[in-house]
Amino acid sequence: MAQLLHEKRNPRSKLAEGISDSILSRLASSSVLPLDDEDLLQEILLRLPPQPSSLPRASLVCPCWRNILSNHKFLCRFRKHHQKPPLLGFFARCLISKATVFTSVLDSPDCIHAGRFLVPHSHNPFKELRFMGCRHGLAVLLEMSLHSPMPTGLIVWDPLNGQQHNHLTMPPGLNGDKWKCWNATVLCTNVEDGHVHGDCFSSPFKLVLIFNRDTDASTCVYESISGVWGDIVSVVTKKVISALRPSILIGNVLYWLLVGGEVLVHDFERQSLGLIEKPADTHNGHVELSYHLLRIEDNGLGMAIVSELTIKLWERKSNYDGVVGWVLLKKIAPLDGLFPQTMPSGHMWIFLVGYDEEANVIVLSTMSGMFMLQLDSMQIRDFSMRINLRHSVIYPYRNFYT
Amino acid sequence: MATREAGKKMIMLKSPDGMEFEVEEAVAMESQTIRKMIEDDCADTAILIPNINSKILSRVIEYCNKHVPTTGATGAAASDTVAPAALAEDLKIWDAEFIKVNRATRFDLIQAASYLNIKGLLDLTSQTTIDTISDNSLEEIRSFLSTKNDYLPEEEQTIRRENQWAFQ
Repeated sequence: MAQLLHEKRNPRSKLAEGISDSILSRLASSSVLPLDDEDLLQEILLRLPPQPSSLPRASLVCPCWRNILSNHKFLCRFRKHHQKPPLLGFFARCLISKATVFTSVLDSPDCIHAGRFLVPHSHNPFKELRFMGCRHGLAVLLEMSLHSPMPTGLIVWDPLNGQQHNHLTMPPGLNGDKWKCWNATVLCTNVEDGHVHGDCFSSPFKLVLIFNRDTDASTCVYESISGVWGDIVSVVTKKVISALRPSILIGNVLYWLLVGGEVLVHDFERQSLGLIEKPADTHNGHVELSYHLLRIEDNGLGMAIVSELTIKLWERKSNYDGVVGWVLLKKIAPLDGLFPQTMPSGHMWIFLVGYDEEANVIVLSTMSGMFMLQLDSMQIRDFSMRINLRHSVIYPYRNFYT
Repeated sequence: MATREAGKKMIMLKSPDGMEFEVEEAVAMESQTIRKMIEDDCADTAILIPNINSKILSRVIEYCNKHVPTTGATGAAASDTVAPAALAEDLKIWDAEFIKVNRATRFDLIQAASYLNIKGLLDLTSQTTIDTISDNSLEEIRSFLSTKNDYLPEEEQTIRRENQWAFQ
């Protein structure tokens, strides 16, 4: 390492005149090796991959590295450097047993065991905690009563630290059984400069509840800062909210799928609620798992619709006349290659059971297994070995496991 | 020192081993440290870059020359005429070749990039270092970085036990 050692020089040579003191003091300390200079070492270690095992493994190099890698400030910088948290796995909610279990999509040593993300359950035998999805590293669960279609409360849960926010009661004025089909989502609303989602448990959040009755669909937003629910906003529709589909977030707008393919549009800043018609040429309206909303390139709204073994991708955009409508973006060739040749055609079906809006990856469930389809590259990954839950809906979970 | 050559403002950078490099001001200003000196009007004479020898300084200048946003004869930015994706791809290939240096040179470049505050070069050199060690065993990493293992065997075992999953 001798070649790395620089001779110390007098920084105040004539030629250096005019260099400010702060720069001089910085330059004068340069006789150390990059890895002995903690600032430089931090710069290098920030580039460690964001995968779960990355920091614990690097901590074993020496105590100095361990001190840095476990420092709270460093971890904030680490998240900021990487910006997008890695996909750790999926929460799979079984539609038959109602249980939700975490399954890692990463290989060893980054594979996170289901036991480390144990989904909370109700201790009351007449109640069930229903997993409704996750965003910004937080998950939301509805507390359902076996005696009523209306939830009795909501829970925001951080799988990473296992903590829950206080049990939230339902918005006032929602008594009675006329309300049905509930869905909910959580959003971190931390606007601090440099905040990167992934360590959001102590950040302010919004909880968005949507629900409908025979004549309309409604939404209500809870703000953790004020600790109160806002007004209930409604729109007339006879369509039913899909309780199996998480919302898609684009800017300040949440898009929710209605059974049959229509879309509920909720601008949670303006507190407005509207509807979008379904794309033309859709035949599978009665099958809820044939549709999935997408967030496509340039923050556009998309929709995937599967019919038989073909997936069509639609995009919401304006035509030459400035009229906004659904435009067919891509038709994916029949995916019969996902099935063994010997499989009877009656068993060859595809359901769209999950979607990761960060990576534009859709999860397909088939009789022959589970697949992840990246919609830009069209690459298909078989992950049946990890998860083969034909009757489950899938919620991707991204976070920095630090 | 400020001279003009073909309409471009030039400045002189000096390494402590006595070498002088005349570079376009725009190229030198890829370094935020030098940019600040120029903007604060502290750079009307040649600028000494202490502790960065001529060999490393010339490599740094080579990097800045490649990465400075170029302007064509019409004054339009080159990126207006060349597709940004193609330009980025070209730079990526060039960077990959540029960083094919031995460990000592790379460490010197990390230090230089840090002192001169050149974000792209710091990214490139640091990321390459991490990529080099990522797939190696602990012993190989310690040996590559000349880092001593200061853990007692029992301490190392405790850390392994605490995060057993990460070592499977």
